[in-house]
Amino acid sequence: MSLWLLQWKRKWATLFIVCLLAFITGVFIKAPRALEHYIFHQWEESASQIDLIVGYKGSPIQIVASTLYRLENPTGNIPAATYEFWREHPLVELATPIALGDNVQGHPLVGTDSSYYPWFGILLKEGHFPSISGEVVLDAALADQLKVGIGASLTSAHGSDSRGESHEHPLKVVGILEAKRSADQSALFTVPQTYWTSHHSVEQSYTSVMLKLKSKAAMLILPNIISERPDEQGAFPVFIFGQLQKQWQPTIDQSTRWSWIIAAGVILLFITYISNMYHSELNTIAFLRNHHGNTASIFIQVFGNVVVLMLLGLFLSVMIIQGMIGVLPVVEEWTAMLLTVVLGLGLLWIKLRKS
Amino acid sequence: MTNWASVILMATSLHVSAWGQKVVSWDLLAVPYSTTSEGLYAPQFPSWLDRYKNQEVVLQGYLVPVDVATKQYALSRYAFSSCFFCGNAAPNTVVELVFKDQPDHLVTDQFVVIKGILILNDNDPYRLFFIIQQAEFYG
Repeated sequence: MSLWLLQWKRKWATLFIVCLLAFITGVFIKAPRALEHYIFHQWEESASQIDLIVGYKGSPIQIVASTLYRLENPTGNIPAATYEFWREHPLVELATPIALGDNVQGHPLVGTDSSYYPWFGILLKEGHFPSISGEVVLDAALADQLKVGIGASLTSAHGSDSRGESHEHPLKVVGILEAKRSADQSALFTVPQTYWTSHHSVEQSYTSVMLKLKSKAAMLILPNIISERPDEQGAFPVFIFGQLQKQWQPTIDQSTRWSWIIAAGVILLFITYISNMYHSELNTIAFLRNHHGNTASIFIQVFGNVVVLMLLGLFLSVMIIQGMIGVLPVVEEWTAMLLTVVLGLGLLWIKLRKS
Repeated sequence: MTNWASVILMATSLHVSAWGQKVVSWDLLAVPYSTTSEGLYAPQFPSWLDRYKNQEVVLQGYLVPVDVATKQYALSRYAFSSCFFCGNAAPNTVVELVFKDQPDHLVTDQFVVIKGILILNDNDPYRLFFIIQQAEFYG
């Protein structure tokens, strides 16, 4: 058995340790960036789709959270006249009404019109979109979860909890969807008339209106108009996420600084490990020296596999991080990881030269 | 931060003038405007703004994100926290920025000094009254 193969058998643990250290270093450096990326991705996704949401006077965050994510209760109801006003406003390209407040087995029931589906890239897999009161559609995965298909009957309840007061009007599943956003995958959709029927409403009303404007600059013109309209609150997702980003940024910056300190500690640990590994190979090195081995050949025979393992560990860690977080490492992270490997190998080389 | 940036801008204004750039104040941009029958705003640009029209100007203010996907930002007279929902803001307190080079992600309410060509928009009701073309950070 050659010395190279012998070294491979002896150093199987090295692969594990190198991979682990490279992975830990990578994750610590990557985590704040991943957080930042995630936040910005969410921001972009929401802000690029909706320019403005108009709801009843209240918290803009609550309006965005309820309309876009169904995480909150709506601030209240707005009359159908409000929807009509915004639908016909010259700065508005598209207006979609939203009615919320009921649930089906704990899943929100969204009352909206047909413009909602293409807006959020929702496709019809089976059946048809709801067109009359009582008709509902839902994502295929949710239909499986609720064990319902086309033609099935469901009952809605008031509020966001399935234990809320049940409505007497039954709902009928008429279509199965393929939704993209998680908020849409866990909701059922119907026409606003379903709400008016089940709530015995005399006046037609909604909980909010989502608007796409004819230009982005219009977002800075409309606040003035909204402030002049009674009982209406404008919520601009891009501004809200911008404000949230402002709050998060110092935390991200702080954690970035800490991640580098932790990474430096891990690198130090790695160098110590390399140094110990050298000392454990002293007898082999002495044997090869006595057999007229030069520094380069000893380095390759004794530590050649370490070089391969280090590069493999580096590659694996990058792949794992990419797979886990979905963000490619940037130049400085590659530099940090390569620097660690070069530093470790350089240390081995220097020690070997001095031996 | 705000005060320091103001001091720097004031201190460098002579230098700026020497290079032919005109320092514009927000008071200068507070032009009157009317509402059209369609409910849109129409600015009325006073003649004294002509000397700034299509000229390279320098303006300071707070960044407001308009579209993150396409990295569109506007410059506001007021910080966001005292801006749009408090009644201070108006169409003449924000300026549309068209950056020469796309900036990296910026932070809302970041106080900046911008240099660029000032456009007086009197024909496109879907855009702001003032647009700074070829915008770049100054200083």
